[in-house]
Amino acid sequence: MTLKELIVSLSGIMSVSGNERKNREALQELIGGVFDEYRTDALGNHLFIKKCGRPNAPRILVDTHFDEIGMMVTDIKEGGFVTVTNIGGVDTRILPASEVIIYGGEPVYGVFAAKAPHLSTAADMEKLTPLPEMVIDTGYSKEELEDLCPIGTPVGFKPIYAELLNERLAGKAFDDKACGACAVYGIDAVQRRDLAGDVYFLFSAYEETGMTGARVAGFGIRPDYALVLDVTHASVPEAKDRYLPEFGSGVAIAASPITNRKLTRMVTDLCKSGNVPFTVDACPGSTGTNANVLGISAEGIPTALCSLPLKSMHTSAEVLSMEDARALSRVVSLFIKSKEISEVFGK
Amino acid sequence: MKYTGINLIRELSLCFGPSGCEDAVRTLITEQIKGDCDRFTVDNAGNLIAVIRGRGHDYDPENPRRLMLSAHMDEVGFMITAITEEGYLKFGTVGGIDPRVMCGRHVQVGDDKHRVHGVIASKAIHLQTPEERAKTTPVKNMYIDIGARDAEDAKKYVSVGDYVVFDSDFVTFGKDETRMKGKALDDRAGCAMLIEIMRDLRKSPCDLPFDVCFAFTTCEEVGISGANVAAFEIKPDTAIILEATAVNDLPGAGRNFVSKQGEGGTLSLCDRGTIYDMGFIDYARQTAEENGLKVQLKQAFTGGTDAAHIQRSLTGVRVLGLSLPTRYIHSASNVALYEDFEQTYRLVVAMIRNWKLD
Amino acid sequence: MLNLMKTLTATCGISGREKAISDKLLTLVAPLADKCYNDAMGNLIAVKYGTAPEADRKKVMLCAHMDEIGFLVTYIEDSGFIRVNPIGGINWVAAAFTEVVFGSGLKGILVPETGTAPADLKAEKCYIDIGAKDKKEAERKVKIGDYCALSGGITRLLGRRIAGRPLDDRIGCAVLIKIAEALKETPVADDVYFVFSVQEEVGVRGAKTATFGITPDIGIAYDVTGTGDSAGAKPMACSVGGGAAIKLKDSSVICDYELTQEFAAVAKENDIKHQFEILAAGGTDTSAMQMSGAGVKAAALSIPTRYIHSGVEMLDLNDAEACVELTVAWLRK
Repeated sequence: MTLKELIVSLSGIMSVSGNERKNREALQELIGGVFDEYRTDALGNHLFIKKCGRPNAPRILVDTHFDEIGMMVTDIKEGGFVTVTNIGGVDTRILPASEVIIYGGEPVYGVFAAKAPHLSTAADMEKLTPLPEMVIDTGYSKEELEDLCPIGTPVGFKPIYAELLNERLAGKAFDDKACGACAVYGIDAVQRRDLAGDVYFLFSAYEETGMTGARVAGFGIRPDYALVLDVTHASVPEAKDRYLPEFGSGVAIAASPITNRKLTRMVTDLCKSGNVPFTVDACPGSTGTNANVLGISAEGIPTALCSLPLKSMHTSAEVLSMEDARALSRVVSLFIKSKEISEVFGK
Repeated sequence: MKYTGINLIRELSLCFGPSGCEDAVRTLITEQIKGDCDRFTVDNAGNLIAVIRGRGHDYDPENPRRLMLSAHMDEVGFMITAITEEGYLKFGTVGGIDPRVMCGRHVQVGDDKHRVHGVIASKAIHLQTPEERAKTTPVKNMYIDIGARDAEDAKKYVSVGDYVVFDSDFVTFGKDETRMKGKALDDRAGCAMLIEIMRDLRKSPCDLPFDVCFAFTTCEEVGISGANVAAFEIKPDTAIILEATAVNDLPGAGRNFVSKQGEGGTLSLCDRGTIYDMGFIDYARQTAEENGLKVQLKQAFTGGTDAAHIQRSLTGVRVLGLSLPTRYIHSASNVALYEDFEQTYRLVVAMIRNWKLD
Repeated sequence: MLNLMKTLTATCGISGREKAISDKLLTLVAPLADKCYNDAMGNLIAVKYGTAPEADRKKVMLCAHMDEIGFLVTYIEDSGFIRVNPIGGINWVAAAFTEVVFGSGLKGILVPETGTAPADLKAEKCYIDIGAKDKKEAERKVKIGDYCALSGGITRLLGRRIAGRPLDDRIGCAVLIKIAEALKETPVADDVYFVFSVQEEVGVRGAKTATFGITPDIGIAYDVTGTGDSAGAKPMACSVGGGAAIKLKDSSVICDYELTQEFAAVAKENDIKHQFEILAAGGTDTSAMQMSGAGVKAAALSIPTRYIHSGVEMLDLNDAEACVELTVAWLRK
């Protein structure tokens, strides 16, 4: 499977926060073969381990989050309409007339209702309907829906993937499963004997709703050091004054008070010597990623953060550049091979 | 070189140490505490932890009780987020800084080893519109000028991700020069107190029924605090958090005052992160009274300290928040009274030497 | 249940000052448990050991918070008026012009400054009048750092519905005690830890350390939830009298899916009235339990309540009893 195929396959799996356990088999089938061992925990974190074969080897954690933003059924109305609440930060602008899947006993297809322009005033069109007031049209009866998709059922964007020009991909849930694919690809590319330690690949739960999964997984695994992969905003016309990384600029390495400076410097050096393109992404406050919680987990885990530039984050049409994705998977390979890093941070 | 008293505060204040880049502060403190404690370590989060062990018949060496004293090493500052084509530096804040204290300040840009001088530039008053004059300039419109000709020139000296702190000398002023002005008194004053307490306990040793663990912590100002890690490792039963707290004792403060300078350290009742242990507060006040030391209650519930992280670590820790009342914190010019500093750390020494918290 | 609620609402215990309510709960729960203790933060923990061999017993933590919202004294004016700071989410419209009671039992009234518009009500605009002539007299009765809350107590309404305060979350405490009574009679296989937690109202602080100390396999929180059935309420498929509310989500947590399904199945089997709850705004101890240590499977059973954080919180005791029944039936499985 190519990296591109893996990105699309992983991102297409439904994993709205709170439902990380549901498609475990599909996940294991896709990536389990790369690893020696699989574990899960009380919160539904997925942990895949690739052993280096040496006793007492350092534990290297590579974290990407498995969960994605989405919605949850809150009520079922007469006429086959379903109301929902958001799980994580859903952009309500994109919802009217969008296609969704309600992941009940069997998947139910639905469309978010949208008022026809003929029935709306110009003033109406400027306003956004709050999510609790929106409805999804399903074509079933209320009674049927109560059976098919009761209150609490997860709802996700319909997976639609397309390749744009210049190897750029459009689709849902690249945040953060595209990074997951890069991690798996990067780990698979390294021969067991070349590993600097045992690699713990954490596909974590509940990131979008408060980084809960990584918080407890860090405590449970107690790795020696960690690399977190997540998406970051790529440069777009309406945010030029934020100096965001451009597509094709490679990996965005975070400089922040929370991430470990020495480890970050060593990752930067790996990129330089390995000819991996990168930019530095300064995060003066919080990183908004699992790096926030891993760094202060238990005895403290020295953590670096590498990000994949992404456009239209948290929509059904996120856009990434394969050039950057390949750079990210190479950073993962270099990171888990690095003897320099394991000598400094490994126990 | 070992420093004491006001000189110790001076050296700590001048040190470069924004959140996440506390190395220089840690190095200075390590020099200062060598020989004054039984052992010290640096953990994964960069915290420096020093221990004075207990002894005597109430001390259980197998399973010792532990008192944690905590002060954070980091200071508020900025981080370079971009370099413009003209060679100016765009920045974001590390910790909470009021944009009103930024314009026109001198700054140091770099890290613990290499730095250049800069100024936070501000459009001349002549060039401002009347609306702009009446308002604070937002941070996203500010930039730092290091004198570079263009981006290429600037990149020879600085990089995106570099840190920035206020460049502010340490001054004593007022009657008898008892007032101190400097940057980062929040919380280098607390670090100085920890060192003074350690030395006092070392100078005339007493039988401590517990280990005293001194934690110089990281990243307090950005909220994702090293104190989490320090508390996890120390596993304290009780903790005293030494801070520099805001003062609002200026004219017109009325009942909104927070605490007053010249009245000793302030005890926190409650702030945004913590409701403090009432029994511990009573013990501190009683000790102050018995020893003729000044202490006051902090009557505002604003702000937050590492007590929030320490109180809720592991199975819970009893916490006391004791602070040096400091004016204009989180700016280039913090102002505090040396006598308050002495009153504050002496109170902690008195509490430790005759520990009676039930 | 009614008498128990009368007892539990008669004692004041705001976040961070829970000693009195903890002592009262201890007298109620101690005869029902094998072991009781308070931890460093003040959480009251009562343990009832299971009947299975030790190695086979799971640890189940049932948690209700014993603290309530209230006020801390910050300043006493020359006039003898007392200024306070809120602890927890105070609804100032509900608090204005009401009786308050201090930890010492002293009573006062909380009033706004004359002419304050309801929309402008906040701590700075309100004060407590204890009837003191001046500062000196006030200071003999009250000192900075003392606490008070709106006066407690309940009134019976129609059917089995009650109104008063603090139902949030003494009703959860009452549910725990009723469960403990049931287990005293017919014990279950697993160890059950009854936790009366502190400082929930200021950010689920107590449950965090209690959970870390216990390291349970499963954690269930018992707390009030909002409803969609009061006039003008936002849509919410949860109502007073609709039975035990099985929480799916609130703003702090998404509950463990398997646990919520287990509860729903047990409720169906035993014909216990139940409903699902998705709370748009508000958090509970559930999140603190879930993210403790290496992670805990966590869920919550809620008691639907109208007018939360006012002096007239209102609920149906049948819903609370459904929570008791459902928990006992689930523990027996």
